[in-house]
Amino acid sequence: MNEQVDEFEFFLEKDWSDGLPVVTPTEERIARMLTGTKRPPDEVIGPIPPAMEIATVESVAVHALMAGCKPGYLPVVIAATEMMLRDEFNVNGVQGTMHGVAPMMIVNGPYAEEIGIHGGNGCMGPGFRANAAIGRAIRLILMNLGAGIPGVSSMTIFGMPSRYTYCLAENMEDHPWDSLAVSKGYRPDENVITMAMVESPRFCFDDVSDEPDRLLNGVADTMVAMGSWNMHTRSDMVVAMGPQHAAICANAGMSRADVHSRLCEIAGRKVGDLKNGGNWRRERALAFPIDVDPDDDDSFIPAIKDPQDLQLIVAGGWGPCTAVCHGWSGGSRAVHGSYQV
Amino acid sequence: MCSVHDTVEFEKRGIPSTTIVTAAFRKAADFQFRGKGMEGHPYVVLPHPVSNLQPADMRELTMQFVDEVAGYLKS
Repeated sequence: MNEQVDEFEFFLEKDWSDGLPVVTPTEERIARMLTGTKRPPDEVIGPIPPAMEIATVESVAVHALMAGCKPGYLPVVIAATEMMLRDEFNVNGVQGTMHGVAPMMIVNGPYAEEIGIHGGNGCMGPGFRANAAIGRAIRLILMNLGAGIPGVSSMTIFGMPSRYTYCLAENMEDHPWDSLAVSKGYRPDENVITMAMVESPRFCFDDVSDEPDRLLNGVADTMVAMGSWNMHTRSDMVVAMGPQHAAICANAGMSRADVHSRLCEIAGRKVGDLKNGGNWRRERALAFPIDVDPDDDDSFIPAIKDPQDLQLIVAGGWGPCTAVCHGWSGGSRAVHGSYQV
Repeated sequence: MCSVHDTVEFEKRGIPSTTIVTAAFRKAADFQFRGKGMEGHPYVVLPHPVSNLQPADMRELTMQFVDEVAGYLKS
């Protein structure tokens, strides 16, 4: 800090922050951050909606720096920025929406482990620099380059804590199955990011079940709510099984695909139940990409309308809990992609 | 706010266009038009909310704004 300017206050006064102090992006620090990538600083990543300011490798590096990243995190931040600009992810819609979802980043592969993206106890934060800073870099890019500013261009009603940062790995040490990335066809040695627009997690605590049927009934119930968009449109969802819950399924002989399939099958409500509250509208049900009869109270409406919309991972520490993250109404499909370091 | 961007792109090509928002999105629309260099461009503001209207009510509301929309498209 020099005598005239307190740089921490300066960035906060300029609204160039998420409300917390940022690391001052001096030229020296930016140059050091750029050593984290082989890509040229002026390479264009793309326009960040809704303001459509152009993200370049350098401007992404500046925000990674401001968020507290190490240079080694930069390849992940650049790749995530590119991926969230895919049309099917619809980041433009999320920037303006009244809902409060955020791009959750699930980072698979050896580089995530190398740079310390955490998938064990407390992986959804706080406490882990790579998780915190990489996710925060994405938020600062969305706010500073995209101008996704609450009450100005973002009409989010509440926002949510996960909008500060939302990045984790899977817990591969205690994982009974292949990673999410491998389940999508990537090799185990590939570095892969999945991004899904979801809410903060709600938890399914179950320290009673010792077999999958009862356990998955509880998880499936957590995947359903009258006010959840998953019940009223095609919407993504992330289910992060704690290793203990995953082990109950695996020890009973269930594969990842078995659990995935079972949850898609049983998570849902009947029309007659959904009519009693929440977002139920007949017109919405008629728009489902699946065959349901909105006039039949016994017709079953699944939370997952297309199996590819459920991202099933194993993360967190040992304990009887699974985290369920519901999705958004506005048509965002999760994206997956490998990246080079 | 894709609709603001669409309006701006149409207008740049000489095609009259307007944007329809509900009142809750007015600030966002103003911000977008300002950011795209078209501050003050007229657009149509419906009362908020509309998502809970039944189809017949939505049609009735729509009819109240037809002339305003048409006026912008003719200008």
